[in-house]
Amino acid sequence: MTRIAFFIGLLTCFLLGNTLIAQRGKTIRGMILNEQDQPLSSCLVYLTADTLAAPLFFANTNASGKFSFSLDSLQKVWLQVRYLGYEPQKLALEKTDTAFIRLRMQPQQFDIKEVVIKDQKPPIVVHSDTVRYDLKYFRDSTEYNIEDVIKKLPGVQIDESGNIKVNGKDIIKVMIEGDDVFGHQYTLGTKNIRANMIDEVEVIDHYQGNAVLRDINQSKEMVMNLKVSKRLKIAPGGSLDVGMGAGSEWKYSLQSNLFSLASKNKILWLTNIGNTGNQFNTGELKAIYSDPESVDYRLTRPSITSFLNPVGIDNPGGVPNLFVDNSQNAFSTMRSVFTLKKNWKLQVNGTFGGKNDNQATAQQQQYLYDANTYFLKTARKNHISNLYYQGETTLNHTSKNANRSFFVYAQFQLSNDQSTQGIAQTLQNQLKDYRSFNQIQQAEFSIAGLYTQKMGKHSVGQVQFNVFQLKDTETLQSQNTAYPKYWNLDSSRTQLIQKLEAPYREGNFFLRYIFAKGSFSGEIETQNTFSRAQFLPHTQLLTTLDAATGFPINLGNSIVNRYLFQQVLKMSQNLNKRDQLNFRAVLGKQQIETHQPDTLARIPLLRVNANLEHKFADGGNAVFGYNYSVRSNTVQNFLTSAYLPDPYTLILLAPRFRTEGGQNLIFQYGRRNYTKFHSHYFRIQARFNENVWHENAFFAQSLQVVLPYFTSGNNSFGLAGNFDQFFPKQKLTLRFGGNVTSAKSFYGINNENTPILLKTVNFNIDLVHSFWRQFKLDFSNRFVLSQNTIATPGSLKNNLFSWKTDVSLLWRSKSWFAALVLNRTYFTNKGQNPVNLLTTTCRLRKQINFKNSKQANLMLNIYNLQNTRNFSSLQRSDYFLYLSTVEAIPAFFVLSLDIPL
Amino acid sequence: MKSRAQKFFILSFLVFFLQPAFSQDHIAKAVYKCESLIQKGIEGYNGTNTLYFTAEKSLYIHNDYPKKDEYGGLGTNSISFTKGDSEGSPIFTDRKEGVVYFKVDYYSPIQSYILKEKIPVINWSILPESRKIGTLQAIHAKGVFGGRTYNVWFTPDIPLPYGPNKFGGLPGLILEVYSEDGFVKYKFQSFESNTKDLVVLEKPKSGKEITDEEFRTFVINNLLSVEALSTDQVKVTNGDPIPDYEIEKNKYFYITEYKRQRDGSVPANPKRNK
Repeated sequence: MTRIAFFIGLLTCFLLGNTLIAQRGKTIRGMILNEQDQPLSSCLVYLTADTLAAPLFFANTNASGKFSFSLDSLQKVWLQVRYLGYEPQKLALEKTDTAFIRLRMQPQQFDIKEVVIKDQKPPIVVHSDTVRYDLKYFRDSTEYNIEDVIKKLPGVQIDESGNIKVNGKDIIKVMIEGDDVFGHQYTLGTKNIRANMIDEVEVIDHYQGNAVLRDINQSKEMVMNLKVSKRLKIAPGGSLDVGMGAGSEWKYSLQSNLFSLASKNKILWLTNIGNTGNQFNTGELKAIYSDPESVDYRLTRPSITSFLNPVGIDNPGGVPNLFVDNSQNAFSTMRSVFTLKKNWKLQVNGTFGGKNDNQATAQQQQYLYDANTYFLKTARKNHISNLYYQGETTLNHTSKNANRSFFVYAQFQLSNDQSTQGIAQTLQNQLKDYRSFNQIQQAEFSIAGLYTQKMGKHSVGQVQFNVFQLKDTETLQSQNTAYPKYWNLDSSRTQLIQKLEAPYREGNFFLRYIFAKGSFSGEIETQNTFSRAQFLPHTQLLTTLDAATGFPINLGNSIVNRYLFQQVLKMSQNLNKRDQLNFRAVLGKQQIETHQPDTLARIPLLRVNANLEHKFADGGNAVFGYNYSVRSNTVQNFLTSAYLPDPYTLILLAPRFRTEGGQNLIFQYGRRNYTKFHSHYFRIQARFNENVWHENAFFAQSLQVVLPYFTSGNNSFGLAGNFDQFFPKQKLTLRFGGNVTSAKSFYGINNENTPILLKTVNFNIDLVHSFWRQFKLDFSNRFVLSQNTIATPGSLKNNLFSWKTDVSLLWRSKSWFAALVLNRTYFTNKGQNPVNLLTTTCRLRKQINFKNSKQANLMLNIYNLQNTRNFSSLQRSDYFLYLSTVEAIPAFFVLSLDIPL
Repeated sequence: MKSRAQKFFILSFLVFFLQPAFSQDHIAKAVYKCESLIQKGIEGYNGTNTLYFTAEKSLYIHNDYPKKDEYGGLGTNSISFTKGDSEGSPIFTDRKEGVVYFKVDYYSPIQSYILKEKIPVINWSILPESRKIGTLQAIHAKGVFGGRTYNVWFTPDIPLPYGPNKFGGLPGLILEVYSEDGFVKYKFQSFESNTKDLVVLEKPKSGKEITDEEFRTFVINNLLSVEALSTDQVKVTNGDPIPDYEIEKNKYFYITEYKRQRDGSVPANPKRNK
């Protein structure tokens, strides 16, 4: 008993003693030696926090090489030691470290020989995780929208749909003056804000928008912040661009950017109306740019089965949109952020978009592996009309001490996409001619909330819910003079009306616990999801039918209920300052219930990812990973357009599940050196022996069925990279980048295990050279070589090659600016039947200076100078080769005036 | 044939004696550009400035400082005078002794004086921002020196507590200095870890080394000799330099303080001379 009491006493003393020491403060002592174990005096010793480079405390060693720090308290810190001519040393100190530190310095192999600063005012400034670009160094007056300037920034890449990447990493938000006003749809901003409205662009890595999580969870997200021109920060203002022109028809354009950012309440109003092809596409309004892995208070829109695809403006690729887009567009969005109290913010956004267009297109589609099997020619005349309304609001509160926060988000969206099409198709020399009317009406409402609460010094809890509701009505009316050939029906004129009502509801509930202490961080998440999809088809054939055909078949209503319960565990351990071990496991259960036909499937879910990430001292990283999963893949059924030569039935197959998995290896190395004006990155990615689900879409009796099938032994290899260099003396910018991919995958062509080799080489090189002050050449080239082969002897091989060249010749004087822009694209398959596209644009601009130092611009733009009548392009999907042709817009000009407001 | 013991002895000699000699020979060089608003006429502190340093000593030279006395504005009503200095008005810091030697041209048109003071202690706040200057990672710090608030950027990549002029005391070389009032600006131009310039790190030579008290006596005596020229009609006197046009704007109040004490109207402000 006495012994136990003594032991408890000792333990208490030990524990209390520790606490007392921690409360009293702490002294770190040590000694620095050179490579011969001699004390090194005047050595710099300092402490830094985990994430910041700035020293918290510093000291110099004395004549006997010793140092000491007295601290009030100690979290995990890094002890750093530096001495000129020696390699820097870095040592992690934990709260409990009390031992005398003895560090031995090693002579530096590569000393800092020489540093020379050439430029007095750098165009790029790096502040910790933030890179700030001063846009005046990158603008050359050819840019229309901010996207046009962003793509010129070193290290920034923008793809054709507007996705922004910085050194290969996705940008997930584009903010205005620190506020996320565009949410998932950041192209609303990047494609509509005029280039001259923005002075600076910031790229912020490890951005954590939720203040409560800042100390707990170091975010991996990267965002972009746009800083508006200085005059707009003082008073409301903006720009107005009004244009008129003519070609085969009258042209008009109006673009206005209005900003009120001077007070604590911010309002942006962007408007773009016209028919010059420079307008915003309504398809963009539904685009979503987000990382599904990131925790966000908005629910990413669920993927919903659709009967019809909205008909849009068809651009064969290779030409700027304004050469084929003749549509009348109206787009306007108002975004506002109100600071109600110090820690309360309310965002209210409203958007309207409309589009109206006629377009003529033609397409030849052939089966990629055997032209004799399937060769379809289609000619269409489309008239489209789209309308879109969206409203959203967010209420956001963070407590004063950043211990708790909540977000409430609500949005509604109404859209109506309709089109009429006149279609002539020739399949295996059989001509079919029909007309159709498509309409998709959707009303969508969602509400979401996220509450975050700090639960201790090292942990945070979150509760999140999302509710989503969609009312979807899709109608197809088709009229066919040649139905008998398709349907074996009566030879009289036939009209078919198909209508699908597909209401969808989904609810999600998440509970999350996040923990981070020292070098370890972890997260546990529980998710409950319920969704209910209904399919209510109505089919009516307005012609008396031959009873024997049994057409149309009454499909009946069908319901799919899905319940999902899953738990996600994420863990991350820093092994040392450069290596991190990450583990993620998803364990769950899914139940899919269908009514009519009645099926029930209970599917276990298991997914495990583990990787080891190594960070190099100057930026690069390498990832070695392993993935394993058991994933289901349900069969989906779509009603399809009535003009396909199949009878009409509904097939619904039961869900299937198999084990997915494989190994992957990623090596990425990137570096940005802004004082030497260059950035580069490269990435090697290899996947070995993967078992994956593929989806094979095919037409089965007038239904488009997506049938999953499972393949094993898939391998792929990819290499991608990018390099930017600006040579200040020569005033020359050189950019080149590209990727090479090679994959052996198994597809379901003849059977589910047809091996196909896919190889793609993508290479681009841009060169911008200012010969002298007034004259500039911008020359960019993009080469794509794509090869696919069925990996059996004597099989077909396709070699698609495209080469796109853009040349801009710019001349400017004090107030005049002129540019000639040429775009050329060349396509060929195996060197045969080459397709050549050429577009030319001429731009003239006169700057008008007002007394109040504001500037207006008078501009004349002439498009399609050579008056090309149509454009064609060659493309391929996994199964088909397409030659698509669209009617070009005849030559036209627009005279416009850009006025500052 | 040398014995093993001899070889060992020679090798030990080379390792232990040549190594310190080699290290001492390494003098690093940092070049700055000073863009102050302090001198409008003849360039003095402005232009190229060079800092030479080892772990224990540093020498800061104003390269564009007039090598001999120069007069500006000749033939006009506003003649300016700059005392030239063949050594470039150097500032020498000895960390071992904890002192800094520097030259002053304040009311000493005939002879330069060399003053000695303790290395100034600046209470820096190190801030979280960092940026690249050249290839060096620089960190933001803020502090008050000589009556001005400064924003500076220093780099632990060059781990010595020096900087332009008398700025220092940070865990790394100060690369850029900006005073908040816009009067003083130093910008880093280049760095060499082992310069080939023939330079000796020692205190200034040309000039008379005096104490602060002796210098103050000299200034006051100078004032009294000037004031002795006064007549009943014309009063002649000297004043202190305009603070805004001194890098250490709170330093040279010798005459003002003296006059306050002499006139007896306002008690001397002891803080001023610190």
